Amino acid sequence: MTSKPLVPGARPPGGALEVTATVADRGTDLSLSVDAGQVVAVLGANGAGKSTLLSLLAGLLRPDTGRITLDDQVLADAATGAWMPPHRRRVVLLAQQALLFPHLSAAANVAFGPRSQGQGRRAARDVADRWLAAVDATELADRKPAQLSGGQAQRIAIARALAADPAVLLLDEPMAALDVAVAPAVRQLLRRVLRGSGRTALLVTHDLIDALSLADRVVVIEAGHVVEDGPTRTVLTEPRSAFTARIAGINLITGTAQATHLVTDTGTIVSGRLDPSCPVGEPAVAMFRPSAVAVHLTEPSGSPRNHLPVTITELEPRGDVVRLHTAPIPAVGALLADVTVAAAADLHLQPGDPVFFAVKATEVSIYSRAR
Amino acid sequence: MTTVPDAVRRRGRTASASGLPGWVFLPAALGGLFIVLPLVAMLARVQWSQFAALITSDSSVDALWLSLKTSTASTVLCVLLGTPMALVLARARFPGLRLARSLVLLPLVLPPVVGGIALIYTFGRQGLLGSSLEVLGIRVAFTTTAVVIAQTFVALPFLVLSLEGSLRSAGRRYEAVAATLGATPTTVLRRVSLPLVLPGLFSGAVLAFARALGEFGATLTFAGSLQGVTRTLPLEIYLQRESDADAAVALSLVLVVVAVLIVLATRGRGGEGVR
Repeated sequence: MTSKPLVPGARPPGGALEVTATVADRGTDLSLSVDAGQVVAVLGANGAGKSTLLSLLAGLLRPDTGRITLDDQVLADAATGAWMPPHRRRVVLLAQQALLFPHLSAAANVAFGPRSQGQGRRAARDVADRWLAAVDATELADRKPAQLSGGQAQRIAIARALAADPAVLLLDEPMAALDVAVAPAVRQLLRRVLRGSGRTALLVTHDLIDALSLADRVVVIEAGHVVEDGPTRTVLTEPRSAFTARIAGINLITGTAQATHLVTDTGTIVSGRLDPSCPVGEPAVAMFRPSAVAVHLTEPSGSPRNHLPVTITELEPRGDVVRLHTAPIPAVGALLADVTVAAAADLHLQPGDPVFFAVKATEVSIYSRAR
Repeated sequence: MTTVPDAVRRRGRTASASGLPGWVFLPAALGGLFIVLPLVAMLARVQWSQFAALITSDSSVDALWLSLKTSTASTVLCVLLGTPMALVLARARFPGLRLARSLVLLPLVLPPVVGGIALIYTFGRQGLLGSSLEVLGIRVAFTTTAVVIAQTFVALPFLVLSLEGSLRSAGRRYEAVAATLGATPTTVLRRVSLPLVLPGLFSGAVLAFARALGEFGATLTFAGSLQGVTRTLPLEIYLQRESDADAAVALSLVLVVVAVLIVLATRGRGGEGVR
């Protein structure tokens, strides 16, 4: 499953997006540019404008003002009235629901894109077979969508989207409707196809893990505007918008996954629970909440938990807790810890103090990361 | 529990499971009786000994055959014209759409006789189109073509309404997905929209066929009553009622059987399209 021969068909380079668009009745004013081959996670609260962005790109919604281009083609330009209909854009939408055509078999669903683009029956079926194999669904080829489980249907939907050979893939919370049990496998599949193809993709999600494991870059949309935009790690560890701070503000340590721990580039070992979808030996990230960190003045001993010597740089009051910021640690980065006001007072913490951060292995989750 | 007779227990359970007050069942049963009783009364009058002879007389066979031919032709016309109409009403957006929808409904609420008169002034010899057709040597009024036109006129709304409902409940999401996969609007229509609403199209066509088969007023007004040419089964029944009541009852039974078969067909196969 992990070292599967990748993705059928080489993709021609391309997929650079430029968007500047407003939609008046949705209060949306978005501007964004995406490099060819980049995978961008789009985060934001419900109704913030994430789906509006995808609809604009897919051609299901016309902007009131602004311009959208894909490579050197104009998809929409409100000023000139230029408009490219959805079927000529090579922008494919993969939604929360698989939306497989209920009257067609799985294979016919996957062959739908190639057929629609003018390929013959035989050629389209070949493409479909290759993509069904790529998503481990060859044995489902003749099933009707009603005979598929949610996870199986979403795998077929992924194959169908990619068989259409899109320049840009739009993913609208593709894991949100799936059982917790099958989501990791679908995430792993998406990581394989997204990384393997070098295809531009926009991934709307509520889930930090999706952003971490699939995206190079995170864009946060709030009230119809892009409020934050940067490399995944930066946005998630140093959130600047209220929304990201609420869902993020987490500790991330990058390294390589092992069965029970993660090893950083300098050999520091971080014990934790390995996510089932994270292959051993692959790039990974260890994640833990600042509230899971215990602060000690001397090195704790005799316990299986993680501990790291750090230097406090800042004490930030946040309601009934104090957030401790540290100086960057080589190959780990700066860390955060939340302690109660009472504990901070008892420890007489001051900026510049050397202390030890300790985290139980059960509080650390290890996920695969995008790059 | 075991001492309670089965039937009583079952009835009690149904009433409570429905959440309805018990007294509602009384008027509901009366209504049902109101529909069934006349049919039973008619069945009681059927002269079974002569039944076969009555429905195989020349005029009866002519009428039955004409009815089947014209109803089939008008159903085909309804599908050909009504499907695009339903698509436009369900999917397009343009000023006057609500007005258009109301106009489509008109033949449904119009008395059929009025429809027949309207058709005379359209396709009749002095009619709006009829006078031009006359010049070309085409005469429509009082021909079998007129029967088909009258039936199509009254049956069309049934197909349009049924199909439009199916299209609306099917939604546009599958069509949007198909378009982003690269399918042209024609391909989306052919491979996604129409297959998805096939049950609705089927039940709409069956309803249109039933309405065409029962058409009386517009046909009599616009097409007349000429044996083998325009005298369909309902017209034949009406005429026979004067001279030979037994034949009228026998032919009525034929129409009842056809109606029952049609109801079973729509319920069994495309029921969800009607709603």
